[in-house]
Amino acid sequence: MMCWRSSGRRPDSLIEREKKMFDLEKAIREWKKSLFKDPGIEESYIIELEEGLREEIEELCEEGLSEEEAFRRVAAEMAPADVLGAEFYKVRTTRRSGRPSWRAPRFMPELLWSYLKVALRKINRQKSYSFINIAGLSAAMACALLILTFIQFELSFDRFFENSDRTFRIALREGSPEEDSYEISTPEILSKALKTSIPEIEKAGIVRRSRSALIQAGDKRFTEDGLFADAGFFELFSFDLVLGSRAAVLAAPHSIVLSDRLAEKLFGDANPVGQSIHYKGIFLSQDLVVTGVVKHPPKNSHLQFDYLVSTATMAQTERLKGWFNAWNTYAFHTYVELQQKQARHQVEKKIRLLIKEARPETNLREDAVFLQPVTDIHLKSRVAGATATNSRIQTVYLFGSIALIILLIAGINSMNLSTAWATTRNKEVSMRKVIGAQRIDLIKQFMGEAYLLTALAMALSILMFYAFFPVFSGFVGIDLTVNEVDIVPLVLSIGATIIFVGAFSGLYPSLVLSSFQPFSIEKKLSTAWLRGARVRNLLVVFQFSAVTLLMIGTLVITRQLNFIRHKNLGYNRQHVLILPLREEEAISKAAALKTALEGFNNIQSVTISDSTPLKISTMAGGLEIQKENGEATKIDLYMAGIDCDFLDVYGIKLAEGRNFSRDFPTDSQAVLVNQALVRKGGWKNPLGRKMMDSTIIGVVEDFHFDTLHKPIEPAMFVFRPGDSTFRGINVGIRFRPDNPEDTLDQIKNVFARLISSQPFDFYFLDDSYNQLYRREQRLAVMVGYLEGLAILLGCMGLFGLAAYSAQRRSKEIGIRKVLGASVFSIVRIMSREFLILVGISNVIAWPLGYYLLHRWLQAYAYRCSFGIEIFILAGLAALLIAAAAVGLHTVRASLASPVKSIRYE
Amino acid sequence: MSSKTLIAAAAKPIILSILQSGESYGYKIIKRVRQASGGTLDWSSALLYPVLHRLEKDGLIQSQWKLSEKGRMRRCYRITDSGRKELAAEKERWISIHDVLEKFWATA
Repeated sequence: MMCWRSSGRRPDSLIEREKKMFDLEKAIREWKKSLFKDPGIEESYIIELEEGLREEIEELCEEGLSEEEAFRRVAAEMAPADVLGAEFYKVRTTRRSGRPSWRAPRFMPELLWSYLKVALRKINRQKSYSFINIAGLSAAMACALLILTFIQFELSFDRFFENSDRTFRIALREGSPEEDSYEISTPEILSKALKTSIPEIEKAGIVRRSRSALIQAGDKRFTEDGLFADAGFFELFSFDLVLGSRAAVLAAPHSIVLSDRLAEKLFGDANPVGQSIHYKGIFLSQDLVVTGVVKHPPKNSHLQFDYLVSTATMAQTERLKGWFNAWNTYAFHTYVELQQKQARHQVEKKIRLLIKEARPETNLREDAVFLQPVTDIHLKSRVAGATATNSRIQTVYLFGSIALIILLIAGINSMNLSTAWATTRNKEVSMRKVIGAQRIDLIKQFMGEAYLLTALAMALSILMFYAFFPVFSGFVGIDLTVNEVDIVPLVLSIGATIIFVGAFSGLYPSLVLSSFQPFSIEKKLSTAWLRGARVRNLLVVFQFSAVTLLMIGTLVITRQLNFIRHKNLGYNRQHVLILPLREEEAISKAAALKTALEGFNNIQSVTISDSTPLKISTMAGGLEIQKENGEATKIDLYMAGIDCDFLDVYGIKLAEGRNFSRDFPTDSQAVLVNQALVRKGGWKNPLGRKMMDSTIIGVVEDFHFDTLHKPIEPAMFVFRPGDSTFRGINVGIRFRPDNPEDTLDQIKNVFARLISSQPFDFYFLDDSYNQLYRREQRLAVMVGYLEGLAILLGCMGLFGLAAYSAQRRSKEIGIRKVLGASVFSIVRIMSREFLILVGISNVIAWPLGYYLLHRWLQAYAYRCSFGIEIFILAGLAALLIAAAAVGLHTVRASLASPVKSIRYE
Repeated sequence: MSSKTLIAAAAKPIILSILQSGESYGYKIIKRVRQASGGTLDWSSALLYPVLHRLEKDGLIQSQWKLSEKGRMRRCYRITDSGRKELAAEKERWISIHDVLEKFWATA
């Protein structure tokens, strides 16, 4: 209970008026009237109160006050009606809160409760509309969330390094000034020179990839990928070194740092530091001492490794000594950290001068040196031999725009549907207005409804997000679990999405609706509808342009990926099995393996080579060749050591000349070249030409030995029949397609009999090829799904609008039917409106689609062609889909009996 | 003068005490409280009337409409037997609190 000393809340105007000519009875009547306003006060209370009031006034008057003064004083002491009413109500009620039922709870704005009830009733009554709205919005938002995590992951690459904004990788641009390709291999000595002669460079380090080396400790051995790195590595990159000192672990020769993962596999719980392990890779084979353990690099690093071997180890190896302290061997990737990132361009010039000074004979272009920000490497580099599979920034853009389009389509749906359906609520609106709702109240109400729907959809979408995340993340190849997703930006974006979508879908309808004039609603409605209709049409056009655009996009992307998959690569990748041999013992048995395998019926031919058609392992940069006109030119040349069965096993055709043969002993001094090299040299008659002291005896037809993003580079093949080279070799086996399991068993048996030092590892050439494009294929499928969703959303919107339109025009249809219109003509009239809109959308989408896809295809060196047929196909599909969505309602409306729709007229 | 809750808590025993000495009505009760407290306790009608109604609802007092000297309707209140019992209980409570406080204040 509260004691109420009134603070004069009584209307002053009342008292003002009484001043002029005071009439006590009138004043008391007014006062009583004001009390009556509160539903908590009953008449008997007023009588009781009045008696007290009068008695007090009389007393005051006796004390000498005027009636007016007395009344004013006493009335001012009385509590205002609502306070009194509430107190009285409290006595009567059994409610625990004591809040009068007609009063809103204190924490809610006055009509919120009623708004909520109305909104829920609306959802319940217009089930299909609400379903379209909520399902569409939530699916779109779930998609947007998923895509957001993907984009977030892609953009987060290498940002976790301290000073990642000042860390760069040195890249060298080569070739003519128009070409925008670059190479990231640099001489080892460069990093030493940088530290001593360029003060702006704070730290520098070198890295080289070590692929599938055998790491052995005791009886445990694993084939792992890692890096060669120098002491600068841990200064440059803030990887988490668990054991060992950052400066020392990679300084000395014969040092190896293991990732915690590999350390555990090799040594279990024992301390690995100081332990000896055997490393056997392409370039090195020796015992190393574990000097440290580093946390396995995070997934969003372009540097991926399970071990780090000190480059000093290489420098001590006789065979590799030439890689060090020489300016002409480009064997390492050089990373630098600048004192200030603004110094970037200045440093680029200085490095160029440094190289020029060291090798005055090289022809360096003006912008030859290029410092590539470490954070750009994942998304923006286009170089082979990078340290991890890179992504492309275009993918991020593609997904980002799809997310935005889907969100827009769903938002537009929600907006269109709520405006359309809102016009059926004119009675409610006029009722509210008559009772006293201000425009702002109506806006509040409809905005609130939009936000309610959006919030419901959001809740659903979060559930969907968690349900689909594992599938999605595996699919787009980000391999994250839900727990690894950084939640903060996600939460922020959820909030932003609710605000954005809610405003988007609520603002316009609420403005249109609240502008109704209650007493002329029927008249105004038509114009309001028309006004809304124009905007709605515009939005439908936008939606369908987006849908058509996505459809064209999907068609072209699919076609391009099919093109890649089925492209004649210049070799036959079917039915070829490859055994990579890494162990020296295994390599020495290669020839025996070949002979043994050739004895089987279901094996056609076997070849031993250091390369496969998918990957030619050696690349010599800056090699000088003589052109036809005698002029010298520098080229990058790929080199492969093959035997005489290579062309046969891989199905590579000879264009000119002959293959290597055992019958010609001089073939060890002979080479084959590809057509790209002949073109580069401009040679009219390549056969018999000298190439690096060898004679060209044949020209093979060009085949793709890299992804189709890149054109075919010049290549040369040397004859090394069964030679055990220091690099690993590959045994390629072409088998007959029947009974592949038996064949595999046979190969396995032979392998096990001959080779014990290496496990039986093999792969099929076509699998390996598909692997190259797997991520792209998956992305394409993903784009396809998203596109499907977008189309579905667009249709749902159109479906809803058609339903509305059919309902609104039911009387018109009835009258038309009575007057003799056929079902067909009615369907035509009803559909025309929508089909015209879809037609306009096509006109917008086609040129835009052409432009965007043309640009997308530029990323591929080999691209499919696409013509008008794709656009027509997409257009027709859009039209069909729209017709189907609209058709259902129009047919139903036109079949309905006119009696029903016009019986009240 | 004193906190709202204390005033509210005191309202019940005060009203019952006043009514124990005979029938009374709203304004008269306010006046008597004002006089007894020397003006420091000045109840408003928003406090008094709802409390009277509550007490009546609880069966501690009874009301009756009567005509005043001036011929106006007046609602008069009278204490009931259960009201008297309640007052005795209230009295005990207040006195015990009073005693406790006094002991503390005497030593202070």
